Amino acid sequence: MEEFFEIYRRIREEMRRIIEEAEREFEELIPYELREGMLEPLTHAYETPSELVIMLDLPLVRSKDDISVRVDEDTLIVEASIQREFSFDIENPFFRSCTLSKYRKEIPLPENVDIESIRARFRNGVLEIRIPKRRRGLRIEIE
Amino acid sequence: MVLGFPDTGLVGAIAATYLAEKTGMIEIGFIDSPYFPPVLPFHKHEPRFPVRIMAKDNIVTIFSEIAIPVPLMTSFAKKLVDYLIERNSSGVIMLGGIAVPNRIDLQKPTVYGLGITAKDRDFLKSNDIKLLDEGFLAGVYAQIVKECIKKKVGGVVLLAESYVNYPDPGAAAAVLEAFSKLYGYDIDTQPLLDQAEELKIKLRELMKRTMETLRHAQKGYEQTLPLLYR
Repeated sequence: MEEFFEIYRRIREEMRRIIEEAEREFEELIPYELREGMLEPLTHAYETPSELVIMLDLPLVRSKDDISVRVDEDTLIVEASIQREFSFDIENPFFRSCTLSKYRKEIPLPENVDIESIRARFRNGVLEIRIPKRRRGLRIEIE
Repeated sequence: MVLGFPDTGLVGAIAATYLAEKTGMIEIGFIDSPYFPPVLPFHKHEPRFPVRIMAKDNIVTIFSEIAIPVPLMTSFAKKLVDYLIERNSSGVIMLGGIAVPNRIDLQKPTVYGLGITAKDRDFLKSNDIKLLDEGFLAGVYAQIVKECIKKKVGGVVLLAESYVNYPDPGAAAAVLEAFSKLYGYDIDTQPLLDQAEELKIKLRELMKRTMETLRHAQKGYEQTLPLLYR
């Protein structure tokens, strides 16, 4: 009888291990940031002759005071907090919804930009960041 | 017949689904293809086809929850226009967005129109809809318009100024207001504007997938002037 219970205990342990492993795998399908309530904003970037323009969509962010824009080495880091929590469904058997509380986006910057002159404005839920290009060049005389 | 497919800012898809809901349309059919991505949306536990045909009284709306794959656009447009002729439709109304760089500064996006026939263009002009002058139309609507021209079917394309790659419920509301004005409907777009921010988050994955399709749909042409010497 004791042997039977020992086998039963081992089977139960093994099943628990398999289920936990499957759950971990499913969870890994959801990006880490999302599991932490962090969302990467949709981003659109374009260049003009003098500037690099980056636009980030930040729905549910109320004001510019809830946004932080900073440059760390050669990376632009944007973080924004949402004043009220927002939940939405995710189709994953073990992770059905996500409560969003923050946006975060890291954007590697090219070398030829002037980080001292970066300007940003927040309007209608969209953050626009304008990064001037550093002018480097010399005039070539035509013979 | 009103069409709304995922495209620039998801304007057409948002507008058409909102129109179907607000006017109490019921589902009368669907469009399927072995070349559609193998996905099936479900709403309130019920599995649905991604491209659905809704109707009420004398108006039919077709909208899609998937971006129409580029290799399929031509045959899709042909079938659609054949269906339109089969149903004796008086014309087609395509709802969508047109990307503008200064969208961030626009409280109320302008809606532009493209009329397939001269009569359609007069109709738009007489209702103060600005006509698209020179340019390109790209994507599934371009193929549908081509088929309409070939088969002598009239219709209009209504495009609201929009963000290119963020869902834009504000532009969808603008295009619905233009539609209401043109065809005598009374559609309250305030609830759509009130839910705009939630919608933007909910639709972000569809927007990302739509952008992948648009990258192959020559959408860049819409920012280009056509080669026409005159």
